[in-house]
Amino acid sequence: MKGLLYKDMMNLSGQFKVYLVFILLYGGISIYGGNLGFLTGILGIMSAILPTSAYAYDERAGWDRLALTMPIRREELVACKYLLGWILILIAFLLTVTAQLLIGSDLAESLFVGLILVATTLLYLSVLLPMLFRFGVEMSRVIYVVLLLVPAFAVSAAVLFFTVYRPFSVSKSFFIGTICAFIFLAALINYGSLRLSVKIYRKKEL
Amino acid sequence: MTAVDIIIQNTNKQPIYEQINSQIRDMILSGKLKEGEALPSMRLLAKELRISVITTKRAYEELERGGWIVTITGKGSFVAGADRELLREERLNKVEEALCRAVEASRPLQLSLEDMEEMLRLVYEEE
Amino acid sequence: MEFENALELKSVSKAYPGFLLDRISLSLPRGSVMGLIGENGAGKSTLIKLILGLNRPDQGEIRVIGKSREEYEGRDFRYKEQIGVVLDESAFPENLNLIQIERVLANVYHSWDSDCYFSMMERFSLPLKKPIKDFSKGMKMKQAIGAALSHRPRLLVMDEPTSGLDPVARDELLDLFWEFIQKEDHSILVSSHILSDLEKVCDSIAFLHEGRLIFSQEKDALKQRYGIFPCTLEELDRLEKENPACVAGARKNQFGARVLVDLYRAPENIKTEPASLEEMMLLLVRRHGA
Repeated sequence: MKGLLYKDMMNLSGQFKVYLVFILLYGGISIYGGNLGFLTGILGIMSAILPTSAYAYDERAGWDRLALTMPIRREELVACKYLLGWILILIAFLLTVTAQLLIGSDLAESLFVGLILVATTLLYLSVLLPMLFRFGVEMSRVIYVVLLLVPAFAVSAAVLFFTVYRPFSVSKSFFIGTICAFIFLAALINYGSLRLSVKIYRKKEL
Repeated sequence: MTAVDIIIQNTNKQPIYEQINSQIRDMILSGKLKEGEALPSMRLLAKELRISVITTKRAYEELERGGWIVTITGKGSFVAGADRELLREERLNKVEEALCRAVEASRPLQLSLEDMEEMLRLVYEEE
Repeated sequence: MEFENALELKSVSKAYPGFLLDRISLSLPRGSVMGLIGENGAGKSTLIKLILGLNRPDQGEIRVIGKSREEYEGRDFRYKEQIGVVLDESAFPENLNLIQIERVLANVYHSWDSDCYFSMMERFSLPLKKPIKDFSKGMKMKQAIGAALSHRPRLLVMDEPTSGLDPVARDELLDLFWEFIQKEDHSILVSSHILSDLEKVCDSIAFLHEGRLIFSQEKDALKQRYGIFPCTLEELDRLEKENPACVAGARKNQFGARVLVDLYRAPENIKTEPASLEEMMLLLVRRHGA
């Protein structure tokens, strides 16, 4: 698994650099301007898109075929992409919360925005990864683009909504409770998605 | 290990394993390969001659069957301590056979023994 | 565990729309080299994928180094350490360079031999720091073969490793085969449609045609069994009438024919010349194709 994860990271290193430039650029502008909608959107897209890019690289090279002749289980190949997603989501979460704190949001508000990002991206990957494992990159492309807009819009909208209307003054604990339930649900769906992907992939002919 | 020379001719009609066979036999007979001496492993021979292992295996198996070499599993193949006299005998038989054929071939021409001896001398010295 | 055959297939079948791999049975004795030949689309790659566990056979039994497919595809997946694989196209992640790939593989294989890997790469003069997407096809193939040997496998399975290589590189590759089989329990299954390569190194030949196994035999036995009989069309007619069983295939032209003769069934006085594997295959296909 360590080897597989390392391989994905190296495969993606070129893209990482591009995202890093975007993050620094928009991060700077956003923090200066006091509105983090754009930065959060970029982070959401990054954590949603990179695991699927990693899959696309593998597919193009025919890596899975070779990997499965090695002492690697099919389950590991699948789990690696989910793990990659979780790591990226964690990074995006930490960056978002930090940026929120930097523009002067309070901790609850910052966590709130971060958790929305986590939940939407988790849901996105939960849908997309099984589709990739089942149909491959080419077939999944359309859904891929449509779906990609969902987390970006959701995150940006949520951030906009809460920074403009500041509903926290009303009932902070209610919102935090709701979002925690949402996260829990997203995690559950993500786990179900992992199980489904494994099931799909076990039967896959390469 | 003595230098073992084996030359394979792909255009030769004789199968490759027989070419190997006869060359190793010659080396044993001429004393170039001595009793107890190790032969190259089948796999090394295959690699160096760029032929398949099954071919060198067959060559060695036949040499073993003929009593020329002994193969000890895990150790390799060695020139057999066979009766040198016996091997010589075998060769002498071959010479005799060849001479018989020569005499037979001479019959229609009604060559005398002296003629034949003269021819043999010429051939022998030419070699 | 001791094993008799490095590979054993019993009546293995696999159907795809428009293609059937039909009840293939063959065995590769430990320590030997088998060439899998046949035209494109004959089923060579399909068969290799079945052996490697990439696809599931519809029926039949596959054993690799003594383990059944179910075992090494399941609980005993570590067993695959003992198999080195080269697929028809390099499948290594394209953005990685050779050093990065080494780190990946070192994490995957317990039996990984780093020194072996780097000495192979040096031997092939491959650049260590270039991403392999910039490699030529030949370079990729060399890299794949070097990598496949670096975890010290006992069985090497290769799908068309010589395609895309120039004659010099093919020759280097064959040297590697011979080096690999210096160990007595090392075996090779290699598919190719470039027959002159296989002719030298293989102990036995399995010939696939349209999903069926036409034969699987020791090379020397094949050479003994088949010969080419160059003859006139009349002679061919007569042979086909009197001894139809011995005509294994024929190529006719306006002025004569080259007939592949099964010498076990042929009349004794027939004058034949040795058949190359390539001619054997081409003429057999003619018969089976008709």
